[in-house]
Amino acid sequence: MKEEQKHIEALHDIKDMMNRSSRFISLSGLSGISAGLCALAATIYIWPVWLAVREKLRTGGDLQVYPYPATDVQRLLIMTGIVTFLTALLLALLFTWMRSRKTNTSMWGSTAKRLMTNTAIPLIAGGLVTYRLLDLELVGLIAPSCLIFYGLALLNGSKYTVSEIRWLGICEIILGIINLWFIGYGLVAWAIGFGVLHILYGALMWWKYERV
Amino acid sequence: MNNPIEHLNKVFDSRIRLGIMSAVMVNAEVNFNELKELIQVTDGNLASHLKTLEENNYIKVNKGFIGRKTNTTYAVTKAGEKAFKSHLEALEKMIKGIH
Repeated sequence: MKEEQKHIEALHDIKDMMNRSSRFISLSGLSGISAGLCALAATIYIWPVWLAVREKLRTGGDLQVYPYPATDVQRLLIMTGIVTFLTALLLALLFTWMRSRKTNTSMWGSTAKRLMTNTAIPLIAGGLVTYRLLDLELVGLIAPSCLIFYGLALLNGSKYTVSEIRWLGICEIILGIINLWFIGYGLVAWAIGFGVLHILYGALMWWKYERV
Repeated sequence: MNNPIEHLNKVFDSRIRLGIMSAVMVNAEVNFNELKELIQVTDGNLASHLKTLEENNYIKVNKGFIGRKTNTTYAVTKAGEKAFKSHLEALEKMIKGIH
């Protein structure tokens, strides 16, 4: 019947408008894939240095409280981290910008702002904690703390964007917690969390929402 | 016999008004431009539908400023929330009724 069809359409419209007005849905799956690839590339680049550092630390003594690595090695690791993060962020923004043009929604609307603030708060807190861990020479706790705080940031942001990101957040948190009991495998956990999980998530999202 | 059509609210019998109500239901407040982008209508058209909803006391208008530019935001009222919910229930009942 014509009348019923109209009601079904109205309900569908309502759901769509509620979603579009309260969530930032232009987040592209390709953003996840590109961020993941950046993380894997950085892991491969840093792997030999990391192995050497780890060996040195291991023979040096206490595993839980690592001594500070030589400053130049430390600088290399930190710089690689920062460059990787910025490249991944830039690519993620690019793909999301491209998608927002396709879905005809503005990239800097109030939904985007809400998403940014709500992910930024746990992320900044995590950044400070991680910085302090490095300061206190608790190098082994850096990777778990990055993963856990990143997961919490995603979990918090998931209310303001595609809901699937909640599961990515939970996986990052679990991985970070597991890593707490496998100190010394930080880079492996990092590669899984920021590399493999991002690629899996991005590919799934692309397959589900963006495939033509 | 209970006729569900009675519960369908005439005020919501427009895609634009439904869109406005959907947006104000899930957001604390929404401004004019956001609504325009969301529903994809002209200024005049949107304004007249907003007026109708305001006259029915379903939304409240808050005129503010961002710097020098006016920023009018809209929020749902208690009455609007109640009316929209019962409208949704009526829609659902009608659809379930067929199957």
